[in-house]
Amino acid sequence: MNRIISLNPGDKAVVERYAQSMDKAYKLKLLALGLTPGTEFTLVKTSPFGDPIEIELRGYRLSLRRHEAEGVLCSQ
Amino acid sequence: MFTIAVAGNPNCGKSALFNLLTDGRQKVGNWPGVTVDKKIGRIKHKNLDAKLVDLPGIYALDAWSEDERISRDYLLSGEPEFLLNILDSTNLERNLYLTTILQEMGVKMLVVLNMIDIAEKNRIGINLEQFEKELGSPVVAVSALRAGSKSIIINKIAELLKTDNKPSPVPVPSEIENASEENKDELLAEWRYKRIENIMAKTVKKGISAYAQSDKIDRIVMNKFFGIPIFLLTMYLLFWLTIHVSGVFIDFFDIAFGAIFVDGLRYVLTNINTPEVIISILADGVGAGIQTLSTFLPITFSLFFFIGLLESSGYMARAAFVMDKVMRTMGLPGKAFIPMLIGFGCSVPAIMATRNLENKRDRILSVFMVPFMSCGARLPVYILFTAAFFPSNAQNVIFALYVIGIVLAVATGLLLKGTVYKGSLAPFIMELPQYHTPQIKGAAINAMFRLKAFIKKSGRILIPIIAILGVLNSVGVLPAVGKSIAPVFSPIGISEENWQASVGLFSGLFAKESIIGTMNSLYSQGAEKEEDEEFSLVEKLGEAFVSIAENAKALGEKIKDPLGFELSEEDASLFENIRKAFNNSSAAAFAFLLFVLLYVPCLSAVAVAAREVGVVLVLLQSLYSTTLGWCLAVIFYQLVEGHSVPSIVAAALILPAMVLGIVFYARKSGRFSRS
Repeated sequence: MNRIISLNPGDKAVVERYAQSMDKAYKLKLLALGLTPGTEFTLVKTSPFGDPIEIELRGYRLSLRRHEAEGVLCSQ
Repeated sequence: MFTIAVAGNPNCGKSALFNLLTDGRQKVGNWPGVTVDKKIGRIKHKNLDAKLVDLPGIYALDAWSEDERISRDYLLSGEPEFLLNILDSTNLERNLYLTTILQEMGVKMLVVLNMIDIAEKNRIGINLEQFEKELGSPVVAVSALRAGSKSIIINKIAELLKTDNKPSPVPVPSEIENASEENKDELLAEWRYKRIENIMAKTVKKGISAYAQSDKIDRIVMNKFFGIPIFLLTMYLLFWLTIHVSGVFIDFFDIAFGAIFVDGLRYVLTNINTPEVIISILADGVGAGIQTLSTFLPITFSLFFFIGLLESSGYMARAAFVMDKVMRTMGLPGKAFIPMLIGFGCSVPAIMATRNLENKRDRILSVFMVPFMSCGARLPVYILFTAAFFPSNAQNVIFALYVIGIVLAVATGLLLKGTVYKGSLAPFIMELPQYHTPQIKGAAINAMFRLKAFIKKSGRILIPIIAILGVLNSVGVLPAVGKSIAPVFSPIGISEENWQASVGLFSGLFAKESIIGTMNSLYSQGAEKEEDEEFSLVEKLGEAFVSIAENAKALGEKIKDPLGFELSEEDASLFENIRKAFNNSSAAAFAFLLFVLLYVPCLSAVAVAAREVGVVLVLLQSLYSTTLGWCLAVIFYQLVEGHSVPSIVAAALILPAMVLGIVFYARKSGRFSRS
């Protein structure tokens, strides 16, 4: 199981499931945004300070903070 | 009236379409119980006359998010009889998620595929007929930039109103309905997206990547090395333009509104033999209130205009993306950088800009921090005093004041973050839009909208307050007030004979730059009282227009002397007076400046902040910053010059007691609650 926190620009990953500890409101938002189990995404870029990150999924781009998205468990 | 709700994801081009449909005619309202603006417009067309209500930009209708809850409640209230769902054609898959949820609300709906021109350019092929059938709702494809889009939408709505086709929601499979609580959210979202993927596969041909061009720009703009300098440069430019463009017009508003609502009103009332008391209340009170409010119009407009330009260019979101990590150390999201920056110009629009922050917690934190940024009105006070007391290193002293303000803002942020808001920064979700040519018209419409909100909402608070104080001022109560509060300031080195300084601080409540004017006229009192000239409205208005030209010319000189250090000869006698009044004590002068930096931001800022976070929290902020200012000024003055141990001890005890009191209150009252 991989974590978003360790991905580098250009890396691809697939959402496996959500950690139990994940904040409910945040999880619902990510689901609505299309980060459903089985979805593949690519880390596109990071801010000049290294965080937040931008990922591409379902033909669009989304920005997240690494440590907040930690509960999105994925495989490479 | 027939009511249409407009719903869509953030960044789907909803505002542009809303402006198009309503010809830019919009009213501001509030959603019940929250401080989210409600935009209402009207469609007037031969085929349709309807009220248009703009919902906040949303991704779904979950009860966990304020915006989504507002939208859901409104859709269920029965008021909207029709729903316009706006979609970004270049990002259909995700935009359709909201559509599938809206279909379940049982309201008649038209799906509008917006920005179809960009989708076509990106070679995204949509089989509209097939798409409509698979989706189960009527669909039109438009672009706000394309002529005819308005009538396409309106005619389609009119046509749909004649028929009776409510959306037929696809029923959720029973195994998902009955799934366990912990899995249900995932399963439901997955199921909806499966359905969308299915529709997309059958009806939409994928195009080329829409991001290619923006990626090219971002390779430089978001670069590890250039990203931060470019950010700083852009922000400096935003600040500079806002302050100086509006600076050209401030005198115009001040003189013109003063001529009409103060002098003109007085002239007319005098001529019709109105009793002096009523003249005083109307002209010196209400009139002066309107005049004060008017001086904030140029800066409010230009700030939101330039922010609008940056926003429509796509850079604003990137600025928040760049600053996020830095701002987070203070417990704020990257976006909160903007109000802080604007605070150096003027707290009023800065506090208004906190509205762009999604969470109440972030807005409250920002409202507590913004006033510590030395605004443009404080600068003249700094300049005069440093020129009088620290002629050889005025710049350094002023710089120190700015730094102290920033340090205290950060300390305040850390304090609240560490006590009241422990570890509850809202998760960050945002999209970096693609770069676009800045939209001048859209930015202007948006700025007008913010301006109207400012006049309507803040004027209600500001004008009465200024009216009351203005009347008190005009009947000559202020010197007495000044003398009676003077003892409070003696520990910071302002002797009781120097009551003029106390009156100055009091008048600084109206606008901090008036501290100087007040002190100046009080010190030189008796010397020359302003003669009552024959009032001429035409002359005054002429003067107002001339001020625009003069200030525009002065803009060129400002580039050479940005702080305006060149002082005129008139200032020389004021210098003498101030030095005498402060007993030639530079410690007392600096303590005074410290207090000027920190005490209650001006009443206009208080009024605006009251609208954003409520009266109680604003009073708390005023209490906090004023006590902080007094304690620090006392400690500074007494350490350097006064050497009164009891005063130092008193200030050193009051300060932590006040901080503890506020933290305790914040935790108990729940007024700081997060959402």
